[in-house]
This record gives sequence, C-alpha cells and structure tokens, in this order.
Amino acid sequence: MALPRTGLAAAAVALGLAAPALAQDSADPVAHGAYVARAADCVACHTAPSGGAPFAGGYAIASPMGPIIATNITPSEEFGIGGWSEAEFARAIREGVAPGGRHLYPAMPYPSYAKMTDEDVSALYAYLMQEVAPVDAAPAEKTDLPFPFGQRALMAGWNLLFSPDPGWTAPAGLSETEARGAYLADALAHCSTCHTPRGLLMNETAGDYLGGGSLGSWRAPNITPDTATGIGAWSQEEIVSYLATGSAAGRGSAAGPMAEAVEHSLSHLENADLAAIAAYLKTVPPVRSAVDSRAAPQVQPVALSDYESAGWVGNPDHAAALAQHGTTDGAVLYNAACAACHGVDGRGSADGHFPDLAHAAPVTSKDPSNLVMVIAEGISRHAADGYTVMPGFARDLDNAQIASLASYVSETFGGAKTGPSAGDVAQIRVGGAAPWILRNAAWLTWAGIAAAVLVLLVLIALVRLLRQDGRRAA
Amino acid sequence: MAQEHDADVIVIGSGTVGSNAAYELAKQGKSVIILEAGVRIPRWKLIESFRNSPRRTDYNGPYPDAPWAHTSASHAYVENDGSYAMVANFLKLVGGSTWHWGGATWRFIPDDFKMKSTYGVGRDWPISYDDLEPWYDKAEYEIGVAGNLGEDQSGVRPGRTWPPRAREFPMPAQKNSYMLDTFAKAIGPMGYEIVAEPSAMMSGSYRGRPGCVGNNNCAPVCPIGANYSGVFHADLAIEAGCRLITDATVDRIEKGPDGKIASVHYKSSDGSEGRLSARAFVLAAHGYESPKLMIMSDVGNSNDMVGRFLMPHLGLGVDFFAEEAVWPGRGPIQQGAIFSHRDGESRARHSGMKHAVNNFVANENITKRLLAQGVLGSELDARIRHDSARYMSLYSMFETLPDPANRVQPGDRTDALGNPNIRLTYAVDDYCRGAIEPCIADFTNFVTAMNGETLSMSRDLANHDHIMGTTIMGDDPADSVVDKDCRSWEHENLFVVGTGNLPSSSVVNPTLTAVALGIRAADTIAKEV
Amino acid sequence: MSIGSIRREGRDAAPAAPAPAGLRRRDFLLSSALAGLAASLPFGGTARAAGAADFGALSAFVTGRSALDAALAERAYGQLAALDPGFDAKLAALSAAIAETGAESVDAFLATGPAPELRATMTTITAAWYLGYTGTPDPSQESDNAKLVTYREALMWEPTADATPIPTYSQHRQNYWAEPPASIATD
Repeated sequence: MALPRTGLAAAAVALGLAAPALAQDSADPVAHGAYVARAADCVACHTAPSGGAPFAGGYAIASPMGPIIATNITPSEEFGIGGWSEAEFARAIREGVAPGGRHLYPAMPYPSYAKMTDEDVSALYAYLMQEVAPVDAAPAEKTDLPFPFGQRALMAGWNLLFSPDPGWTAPAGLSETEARGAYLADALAHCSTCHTPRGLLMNETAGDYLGGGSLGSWRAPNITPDTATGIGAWSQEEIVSYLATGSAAGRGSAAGPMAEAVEHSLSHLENADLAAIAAYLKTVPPVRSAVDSRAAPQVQPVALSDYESAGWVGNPDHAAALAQHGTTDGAVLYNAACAACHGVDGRGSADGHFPDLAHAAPVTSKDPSNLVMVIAEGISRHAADGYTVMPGFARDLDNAQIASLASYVSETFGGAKTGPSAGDVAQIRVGGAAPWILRNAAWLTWAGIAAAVLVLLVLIALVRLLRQDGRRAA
Repeated sequence: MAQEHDADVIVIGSGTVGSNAAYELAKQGKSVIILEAGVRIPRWKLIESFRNSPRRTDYNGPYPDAPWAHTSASHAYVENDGSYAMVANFLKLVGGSTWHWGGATWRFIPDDFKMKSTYGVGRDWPISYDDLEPWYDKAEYEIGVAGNLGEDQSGVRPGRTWPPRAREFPMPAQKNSYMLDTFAKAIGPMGYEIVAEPSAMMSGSYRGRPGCVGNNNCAPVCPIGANYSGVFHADLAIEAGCRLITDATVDRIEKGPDGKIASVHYKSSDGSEGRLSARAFVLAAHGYESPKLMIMSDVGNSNDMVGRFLMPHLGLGVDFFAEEAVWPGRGPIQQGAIFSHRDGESRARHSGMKHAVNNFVANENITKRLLAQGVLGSELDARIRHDSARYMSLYSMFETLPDPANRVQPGDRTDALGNPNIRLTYAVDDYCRGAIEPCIADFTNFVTAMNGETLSMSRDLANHDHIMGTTIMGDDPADSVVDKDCRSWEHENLFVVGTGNLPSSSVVNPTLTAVALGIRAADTIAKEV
Repeated sequence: MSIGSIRREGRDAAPAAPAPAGLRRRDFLLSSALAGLAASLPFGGTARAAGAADFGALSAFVTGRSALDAALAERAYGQLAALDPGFDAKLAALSAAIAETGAESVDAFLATGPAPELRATMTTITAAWYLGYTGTPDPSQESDNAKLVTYREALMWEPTADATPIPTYSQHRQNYWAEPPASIATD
C-alpha cells in the first residue's frame, strides 16, 4: 500500500505538519501543540481546499446562514495571528472573541475549545507561532452573512446563553482513560459540535448530547451507546477502527464531513487516545434517536426481472436507446450503478470489503441525507488504512434518479416505507432544510430588533436559571 | 491585431488524448472548446447495456453506433481494399475508445525512437526517449498508472529498470494472479520472465477513482471506473472550465488567408450546423478520423503524407488447457507480459513482439465448447469447473513498419451527415511475417511448460485495435505530417495529436505515448496563445 | 484497447441445434399417449403459456435443477419457439422419450442412450439456460439472431461460483487473486 502512504506523507508535507503525530505527552510544547492542532482538527477549516497554504484560511464552512470563511491563523502580523498575545489567542479560541472585541461565529467551535486546558492552549499557540509558515494574505473570500446574522455583536448574547466558562473539569465518575477520552472528545475533537442536535437558536441541546444532529446536507448520527439507534452494539475495537480508518466492517464507513475528520484529525491520533475516546463514548447517557436506526431490517427479496431485461436491440436503435438514460426505475439504477460491488441483494461482499447495505447507517436512518449525499458525492477518504473511494454519481444521475435510487435502497435493504422525493434530494444537496432561526429570520427582523433583543433577554434569564441547576448531564 | 475568437483553443475529440490536452490547456488558463461527435453516456447505462446484450464478447456491443457517428461496428463505415482486412475497434462517445481497453499504459523504450539508426528499418523519431520522459511521467500521474520499478521491458537488459524513469510509478503494480504466478514459475526455467504490465487498472484508489477489485470486465466496460478512460479527463476538463459540445461532428477545417486555420465547421444529428473560431486547434479525433478529416478539408496534406504509414499491431494467439487448475478470471483481464523478442539484433530482421496473458473468466467460452461436444447432465457442471480452472490464453503483438502504401482515406460511401466513410488499405510485409515462427516457438514452449493441451494455435495474423503512423511525426516536411511538437508543417496553429503521430509502432500499446505527446503539445500551445 | 478480444471471442459458435429431426408420426403419438406418465406435458400445439410452463419443467429435468425461474422459462421458450417452428414437436418427442424410459434424472436418461436428435434438443435447452441466451451471437457480424435470456442467472456461472466472479460483479477486495481458491487442492 505504498500509494496511500505516499499520499498521506505528501498531504502531511503539504500541510507543513510533522508526521506522524507526536506524542501528546511530549515535553516539547511545539510538538505537543502540533498534536493538539491535529486533535482539534484546526487544519480542516483553516486551510483552503485543493492546495491552499496550511492554516492560511479560505475554507468556506457551510452554515445555514451562509458561508463562513475560515480565517488566516498563520503567524502573519498583518493577516494572521502574528500580532496576538497568548492571552488574546486564548480568549479567541475559548471565548470566541478576537482582539479588538470582534466576535467569532460558533462555526469556530469555541464552545468546545473553551474546555481546553491552559497547557494545551499554550502549546497550540507555541506551535502555530513557531512552526507554521506565515502567509501574508487574507483569504480571497470574506464572511458576509445576511442581516441580521451579519451583526456579530449578537453573539455576545448567544455566548452568555450557550458558551461555557473556560477551563477543563473532567466529568465525575470516570476512569482516567475515560476522562482522557472525554477531554479529547469534548475539548479538542469537538464531537458534539456536529453530533449533538441544535436547538432553536443553533445551540447544542444538552439533554440530547451526542444523540445525532443535522449539518445541513449531512446527518451526524447518534453516537451514544443506545443499542437500537446509536453505537451501543459496537465493540471498543470497532469504534477505534472506525476512528482510525473511517471504517468498521459491518458497522459503518465514514463519508462527507466525518471522512474529513478521520482524514485530517482522528487517523493521526495515537491508538491509546482513540481507545480513550471509544471508552468515553461508552459512558455517555444513551439517547434513543427518533431518526437513526441500527437495527438490522428485513431485506426485501429482489426479483431478477427487476434488473435484467431481454429487450436488447442491436444498433442503430441501440444508439438511440443508450442516449435515453433518464429512467427513474430504482431497481434498474441500483443494479446498474451499485450492484457490481454491493451485490444484487445489497449484502456487500463476504470479506466485508463492500459494505452490507442492510447494516449501513445511511440506509437504515429515517433521515435520507447521508444516503443521498453518498450516492451523489461518493466517498473519498485518506486514513490509516490507505485511500478509500466510492464513486459518486452526481454527474450520471439527476435528482429524480438519485431520489428513486435512494428510495429503492432504503425500501429494499433498509426497511423504509418510503424514500426521498426529487425535491428532498435537491434540498439535501444544497444544504438541507433551513433551521428555525433562519426560517424565522425575516419575521424576527421585521418584528424589530428590539423585540428580538427582548426575546433574547427573556431566554437568557430563563436559561441562566436552568444552568444553575447543573451543566450538561454528562 | 485584436481578433474575436470563440475560444483560445478548440480541441476536436474528447478521447483520452484530446481530453488530456484540453485539461492541460484549461489548467494553464486557456479558454477551450471540445467538440465530440458522440454523446455522453453514463457508466451505469453502459453496464446495463452490457448485461442485457447476448453479444458479451463484442467489445463494441454495449456502445452506440449511430448513423451520424458511426464506429467500427458498422461494416459499411469501415471498408478494406487491401490484401489484409483490418478493422480496429473504435468508439464514438465522450471519453473515446479507452472506454473499452485493457488499461495497458506502457512507455516505448529508447530504441523504439531510433529504429532506422539502430536496426536499419522503419524511421527514427524527431525526438528521443529522453525528450519525452518528463511527459510520460506527467501522463502517468494524470492517468494513475500502476507499475513496478526494477523490471526490464526490453528483454535484453536483465535486472535494469528499462525504459529508465526519473521517478517511481504513481502506484505499485497489482499483485499477480495465482495463475500468472504459476505460469511464471513454469516458464522461468526456460528463460522467460514475466514483467508487470503498467496498468491504468489501478492498484489503489486515485483521484476519486476506486482501486481495481477484480470485476473482470475491463473490456467491454469496467463497472466501477477503476480502469481509466478518457471520460475522467473529459470531466476534469469541464471542471477546469472547458466547454464540451457533444453530437458535433467536425466535417471541415477551414484555412484562413494567412495559412493558419481559422475555424472548424461541424454538424449535429438534428441537422443543425456550427462554426467556431479559435487561435489554435488540436485535432485529436482518432487515428482514422483525424487524417480522414484533414484529407476531406485539404488541410496539411500538400505533401500527400496524411493517412499514410498506417501501422497496426498484428499478432497470434494460443489457447490451451493447463494440466493443473490455475483459475483464470480472478483479477483484471490482463496483467503480465513477456518480452522474449522485443529488442536486440533480431529486430533488424523481423518484428519484435510482446506476449501477454489473458485472464478472463472462462465459463462462457468453456460452456460453448462443451455443449458443442455434446456434454450434458451433471457432467456438464463438472467439466465447466474443471475446464474453466485450466483454461489459459495468450496473445502476441508484433510491431509493424511504416509503409506509405498502407493508408487510410475517405471512402465513397456517406453517413447520415453526408460525411465519407473510412477506407483502409493494408498489406502485411515479410518483416512482420518473420515473427510468426519465433512466436509459435514461444507459444509451444508455454504450452509445454504447463503440460498443456493445445486448443488452438493459428498462424493467421490477427489485428489488434491500435492505429499508428497516420498523422506521422518527423523532422522532414517532405515525408511527415507534423513536426516534433505535433504541429502541422503547413498550418502553424494546427496541432494533430493521437497515436497517429507515432513514427514507430513498437510492440506495446500506444495510448500512454500519445497522451504524453498530447500534453506536451498542449503545453507548447499554451505558451503561444 | 488492447485486445485479448481475439482470444476471448474465439470463433466457436454456440452449438447450433441440428436440422429438425424429422419427428415421425409414431413418436409423436407415443409421446401423447405417455403424457400422463411424464412429469411434463406434451407439446403438440398447446397454447404458449402452457408451453412455457411445460418447457420450464422439462428444462429443470434436463439441467438437473429442482426448479427454474418461470419468467426466464417463458423468455427462453418464446425465443426458441420463434427460432425453430418445429421446437414444440422436439420438446414433445423429448418428453415422451423421458417418460418412456422412466428415468428420474437427466443422468439416468443419458445412460439410456437417447437418440442424437433427442440429445440435440437437450443441448438446445441446456444452452439457453447455461449460456443465458438463445441463438448464436456473432460479433463478427453487425447483427445476429441471439437474444438474452439472463446474464446473472445463467447456469454456467454456478459450477465456479466460489472461485470466479460473474464478470462485472466483484466478490472480494483487491489482490485476493494472488491466492488460489480455497478448493485448489482438489480442483
């Protein structure tokens, strides 16, 4: 597997990172900071795709409110963080306030990084300042969210409501390993940013911690130990395998944003740290998801006549027939496009190389987002076991065809009664259904900023009362 | 002088060479229009078409042969008037004929570039292997070629990496199948060595394409895209900003008053027509169609060299039952090659050759054979298993020499657009025939090594689907079509690319060499427009 | 493309059914008389649907399978009957002969030494199910009389299903082919 190794090495060089990841307990703060940067996956957002300079920003983070452009965090004095003191840096990543009082959007997961230890913040600062090459240029694009979301000052109120106080306190009752896993998961890897559902104001809803959330186009499924809808049936080894390689045979295969997390961050972590995360995930309160499902469904039988036809004609009529490829017969599409690997019966391959669709979370979930996105975009994932590809079909299937294919797959192999419509597919592919706050932004705006502020104040008062009763259950 | 053009560059043909050239031009910031006679057909549709057709061994079977974009499937379209009937299979759709190929991506070796000066036969190239090496490298990394260092592809330089290369392959070769390993062990003591075939059927995932998992259907059509096809670069070119116009058969290349090419004229199946202008033109329409179009347009042919020097790969085949089960069909359809007669003094007297081992699932071939023998009942299942496990087949490819009498021309028939058909004239020479007996001797050894039972070993030369020489490259404007940069001697903004450029045929598949030349030509154009 | 196609195509055509065997009236009557004894019904000018069902039952006997797909039987029967106007009579003759011998399996029937024309009918039936098409595909021609019965369910794949893929359908990860099938010691 020399190629994937070469590919990873090249990627590491391109990112200016020392590879492999250095020991997390290294005495060298710069090396330690490099590991923290890996674990916190800074590079995923702060580097533009297809060859952007490392940490120079430019990646457009898709948010429901519009693209948020990650900034330059190289030590450039003018364009990056070169002029920041360590205290200013710490305040930015833990409290979401940059020097000069400019508020960050929580696309930057400062509510998670808030929990980073002083030592890790210091090491991260040392790494970014000393090891990363300064890039004296701003990203080509700038964040420009529509009114009212362009008013960054609103974030002050949001922070009051939803951002924790800086510093790390291990949840009570955990072993040392589990506590290490909790720190990695919560403070650095920021799992909950995606895997915890968001409330009305785009806050993480504490009672559903890691219970599965929507990222727009993609769903981050339930990763609590609930057996039916989460990862309760997964062994510790399977979780570690998934984090290291993006794949656990018979369990799942990382696609989309999770594939990026595996590629840029998790696959670089030490095995002991992945084991700690796995151990911690076993301890969080199980959440029974109304959306996700892991139960093996009843696979519907597939009839030969669904996918073979004897109507073949020779040329020249054949040429005309080939030019007509708009069919929305899901059985025909599945068997022509998918069955070569996943099998006519959807059961993949006996050696586990091709996933069994009846046990694939995107297929069994009630939310078709991941199924639709994997069909459209495929999988392209570099990880510890090499480079994994499933071809995407966006060029070869239109939305109506993707809808009928997704419906055939989820109804035949996933136990679903119905699948997505062409309209659903279109919506998923452009970023999913808009969240409440966005759907209601116009109303909020027209009702007047004063009214909105009033609502916010009332909410703040309420939530503060609630928070005094205790922070998140975990 | 400012002049409005429809694009900086127009590329005629969206096959592997045209699409790679277009992509290179787009990457260098040029505006590019690609004109393609066929249409785009999704891979899944071709798979459906393959499985629903009873003509499974017809490599054109799953593909369109439209009255307005004929392929080799049409017997009326490709006619022969020479002593040797030759049809090289080709396709017309976005991505071109590499939709149905074995992914063989060999480099030529240095001696292939200087046949006249080394062996006194054929022609020398206007460039050397060293000139092309960086472009081979680029082509290999564009396509994603799997191969091994440390192997001698010349047959006479044991232990050396030959041809020499500046760096390793993009990825290592796939592992040999059990059959190939078993065969290699059997023929090794006779002095034969199997080298890995550099292959676009990848050993790992590459640029969004999955690695090969042995679907064993590289041709007629790979179901998963692990086998490279020109459609990947057609798509990359579109992503890089190229405009692709399909169902657009170019029927005239128009000269301007200054001797440069001014525009191209094309027709579509619905009767509509178009005319597009550009600063430069890349003709990448295939080894038959490119010269045909030049002759039709009276372009670049005042020396009457266009369409001449037609060089195919001819060869023999053998199939036999090995004594022990070897199980062909596991893995891709072909993997290794034997160069017992590629380079060296015999090349002055007769064609060099490549032997290659097929790796098809043998069931259909075997079942037809058994039924013809009247095998029925439970014996049939047992014999299918027994025979399919032992079936082996090899084929050889002989190089041919450039002869101006061997040629392609427009014929007298017309297609639905009113364009002429393809007329081929070819005769086999003694240089090529001289390779028959050495080849048969090798085949006989192979069968013996496997304690085999020969099923067929014919001395009739079969034609492989490779076309070279028809837009030949040279350093003399009097006897060649393009110069060392693939530029027409007569029209400084017309570049003709494709396997037709090759002044020698070698014994290996020509696609990679043509892609390297095509990217190199694109780089030259990008500096000028 | 590089072409093993030469080898793969070969030129050996699918076994053609011999010319109509000149079924004698006596044989036909015999087959009718013995119809009640045979597993399958006679084929003397019955309706197409009944013919296809009977063809399916006879096919199962000839191919040694306990059951065959009814929809495929209909396809194959329709195609074979269209290729050969005498096909029903040949089926009837074969049915009758099987009934006459009382053979309970195809191997037992073959052991009785059936006449060449009966073997030819058996070969035609077997070819349709094993190759998954009827007629004779001829890629050297622009068109031919071949028609698909089935690709994936063609019986010729079954004897090697553990060792080789049905082309286009992969079964394993890359490089599995470096090892022989598990059965190699006994193959």
